[in-house]
Amino acid sequence: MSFIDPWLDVIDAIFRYQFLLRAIIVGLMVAISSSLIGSFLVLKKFSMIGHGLSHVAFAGIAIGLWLDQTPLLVTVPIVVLVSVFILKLNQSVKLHGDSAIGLTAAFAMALGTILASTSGGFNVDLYSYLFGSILAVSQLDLYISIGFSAIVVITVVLFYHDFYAMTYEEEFAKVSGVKTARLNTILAILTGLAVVIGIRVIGTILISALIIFPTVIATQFNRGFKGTMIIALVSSMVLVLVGLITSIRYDLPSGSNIVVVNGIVFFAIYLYNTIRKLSQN
Amino acid sequence: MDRDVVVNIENVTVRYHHFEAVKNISFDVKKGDVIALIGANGSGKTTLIKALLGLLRVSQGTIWKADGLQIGYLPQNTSLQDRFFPATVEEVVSIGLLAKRKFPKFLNRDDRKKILQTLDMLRIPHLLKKRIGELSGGQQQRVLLARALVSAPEILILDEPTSALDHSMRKHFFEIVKKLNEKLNITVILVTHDIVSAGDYINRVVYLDQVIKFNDTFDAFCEHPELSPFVHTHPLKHTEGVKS
Ligand SMILES: Nc1ncnc2c1ncn2[C@@H]1O[C@H](COP(=O)(O)OP(=O)(O)O)[C@@H](O)[C@H]1O
Ligand SMILES: [Mg+2]
Repeated sequence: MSFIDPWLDVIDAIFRYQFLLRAIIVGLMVAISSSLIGSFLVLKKFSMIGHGLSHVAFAGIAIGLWLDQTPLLVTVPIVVLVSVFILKLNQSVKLHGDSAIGLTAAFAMALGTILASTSGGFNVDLYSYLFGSILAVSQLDLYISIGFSAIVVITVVLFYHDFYAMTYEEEFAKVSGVKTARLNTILAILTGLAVVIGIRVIGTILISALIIFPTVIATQFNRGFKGTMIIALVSSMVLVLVGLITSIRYDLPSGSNIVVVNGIVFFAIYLYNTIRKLSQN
Repeated sequence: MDRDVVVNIENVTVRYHHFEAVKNISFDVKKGDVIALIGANGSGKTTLIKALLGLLRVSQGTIWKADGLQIGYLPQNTSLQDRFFPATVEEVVSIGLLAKRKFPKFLNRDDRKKILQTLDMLRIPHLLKKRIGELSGGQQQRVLLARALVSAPEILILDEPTSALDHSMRKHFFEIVKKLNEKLNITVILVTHDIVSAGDYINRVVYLDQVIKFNDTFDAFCEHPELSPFVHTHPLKHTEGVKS
């Protein structure tokens, strides 16, 4: 057997087994929406909101399982509402951004754990939501992820310049007539959606990595804003694909695998840039 | 004939919590004015300007602006801090054009031409595609001035615009502002320490120290027995030819 054959088998399987194809499509939707939103969040220095919301998503899933409802549908309104809530807390003078996120995350995690323990502990279902599972991607998950990422993409394209202006310098954007309060709320809602899309394939614990990594990788290329966003988008899609396919090939947890692939690529590029800079001096 | 009033500030007080940063401020800005807003650090200049721009709420009094007044704004030393922010000069200047515009906000060919012309005027057309973080402080300051100018504003509000410029750039900067004022009748509010370089075309000096301590012509300011030392002893006057 050659080296190539097992990989061809994986590709073959993806097209033969519906659930694998669904996982790949959902994975790409996550890659697109989280990298687009991530560009604004990371450059606004507000990316930790993704981390906070992932804990809230965990609580949402626990609440859903506890109520015996479709967890994702319960989680969507909770995550979106809390996202806007964190934004408002952050804007109130008395609470700084990271503490608003920190206390929300801890509270949600505690609440989720209590609910999970009263309903018989961390069962398989909850575990798959924590770390992502490609086996579990349902038809409903597929529709939710396609619908939400369509909302994210359309909104980002339509309001690209306002989002960019606000990210560069919020006060100047506001003086120029950009409705920054409204735009921040929209960004918070989209962040909630992006987090929810990621739950199935990446898992609640690791989804914030997909918000941060693509932009951090893209900024290594020293481009302008639009260029950086495009690099983030493309690299995010490629790396999610690579992560998913290798996780199928070696039977590894999909979310963890995607994050590790992102990490390796980031450090490789960072190392390359550093060595190049050193050798120039 | 009296010129039109474009901004009227009436008995304005701005507080941060309970701290009064500026108190009982009243003055008019007329079309074509070049007003120097001066005062020590912490005297409330930036606060007053932010209130004027609508970024801070006034706790008392009113600020009236002419209907649809187009404002070009150069903030104090912002964006100069993050060297790694991924934005090209063209992208930064485009904010000045597009942020004001109605939907959809995309750069067309005319816009690109306007951006290039503005950079030309400021002698930095070659920086168009450069990332702003790679530029020197003075170059960044000019890019931000270009962003304020590109939309052809009726009034320019400049908060310490020359603080990152060397002497020759500073002179050039004031020449540009002077030309904009004389040829296009753009009104200017200039927060500055460098009242000497700017002097010959300033038609009013407002000296701020929480309250307005002085509000009259440049000549009257120079003859004022207590305030004129501000002009003569200011360190910037002695830095001619020295790069800052
Ligand atoms: N966001 C703020 N919160 C509280 N106090 C502030 C804030 N911004 C400025 N101040 C205070 O208001 C006073 C005026 O500041 P500022 O308007 O920046 O002065 P200037 O621009 O003349 O140097 C200073 O004492 C400053 O410490
Ligand atoms: Mg100031």
